[in-house]
Amino acid sequence: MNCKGCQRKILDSLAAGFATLAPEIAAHQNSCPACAEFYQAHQKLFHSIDAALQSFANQPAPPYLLPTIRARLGAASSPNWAIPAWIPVAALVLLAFLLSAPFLLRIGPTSVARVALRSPQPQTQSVRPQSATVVSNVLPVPAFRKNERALGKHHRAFQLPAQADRLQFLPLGDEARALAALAAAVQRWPDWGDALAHPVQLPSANTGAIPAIEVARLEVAPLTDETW
Amino acid sequence: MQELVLTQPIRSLEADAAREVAKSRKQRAFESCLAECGPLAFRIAQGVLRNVADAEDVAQEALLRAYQKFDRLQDHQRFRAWLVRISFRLALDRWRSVKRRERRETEWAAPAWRVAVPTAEQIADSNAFQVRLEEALEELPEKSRLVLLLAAIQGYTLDEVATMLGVPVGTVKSRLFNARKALAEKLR
Repeated sequence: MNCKGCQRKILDSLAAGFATLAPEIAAHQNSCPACAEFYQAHQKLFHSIDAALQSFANQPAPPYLLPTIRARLGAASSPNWAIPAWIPVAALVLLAFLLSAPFLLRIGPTSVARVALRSPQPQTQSVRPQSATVVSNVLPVPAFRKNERALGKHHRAFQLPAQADRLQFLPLGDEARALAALAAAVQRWPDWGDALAHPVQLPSANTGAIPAIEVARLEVAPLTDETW
Repeated sequence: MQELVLTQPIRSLEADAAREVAKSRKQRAFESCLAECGPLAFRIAQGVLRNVADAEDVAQEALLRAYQKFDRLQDHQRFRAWLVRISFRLALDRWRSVKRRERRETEWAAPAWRVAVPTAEQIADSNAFQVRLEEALEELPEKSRLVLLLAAIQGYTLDEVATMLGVPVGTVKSRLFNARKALAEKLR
């Protein structure tokens, strides 16, 4: 056995914690001063490691450790009746929302897809005819005031902004077809009474496109319960 | 005329009583585990942190967590192994945060360009072996560190360590052997 192999086996047997060396290793290190020195040095090293580890790991627990833990456990297991801090904040937020909900619902934006209110365009204003007859461009609808509650959110669609003098509507579904039929009738019979009396049948291929019309000098009066 | 029968309060009283019984049973069971394993949690934390105050904090935290989740532990015989893992994990977390804080403070107090030169007295006073051993331990894998620590705690055989870790005894011996050898190679 050479010294390198012997020293490797010495290291292994010390790391494994064997109390004595194997006979062939013991014989070699007895006859080899270098290996004997290696064995003694490493034996000392492992003693130091073990002593240090045991000093780390065997510190006595402080006598007050268990009573302290018991006290903390008692505190942890007792019911806690204190109100969590977030509950008053949440209550205030909820109260504020409930109080402001009517205002928010009254002024908030509604179905944008259904009706779009747009500001007037200057270039179309300049060509707006002054006659009382029906001409094409815009189809206004009277603003509903008194029947707001009955009409629900639709009434907001017909409110004319203060700065706007034209309304544009984006009706959907059946309303679009009905408005298209009305617009076609108005174009054929300028008088609205005649137009309403002669409904126009739209071709089935009609996709609901509404020809632009304009009603000048239109009196916008609120609808009453009787008129509705 | 109708007769009103109030059943809810009685039911809730019964539920309260049952809850109290369950709670006291849990406390009794935990108390026996605490008396047996409380010092072990401290020793594991102390073995990792080597600081009594930090080790106390970690042991308390580990035992509190164990108490809070005690109901989930179906086999109370495994409490010790469970607590060992909680304590070791918490101690490692604490140790890492301590190291981070120390590094920050060192960098703040002594910038990298100002190299601190130790005096002869400092070198003489410093326990060089202790410092090197701690550094070598830090480089070991966590599993090896835990095995070294548990094997060093007096009163536990390798069989008990294997039971605590939930691994065969052969695995414990192998990990212990590799860890000791690695330590010796780093320290020689």
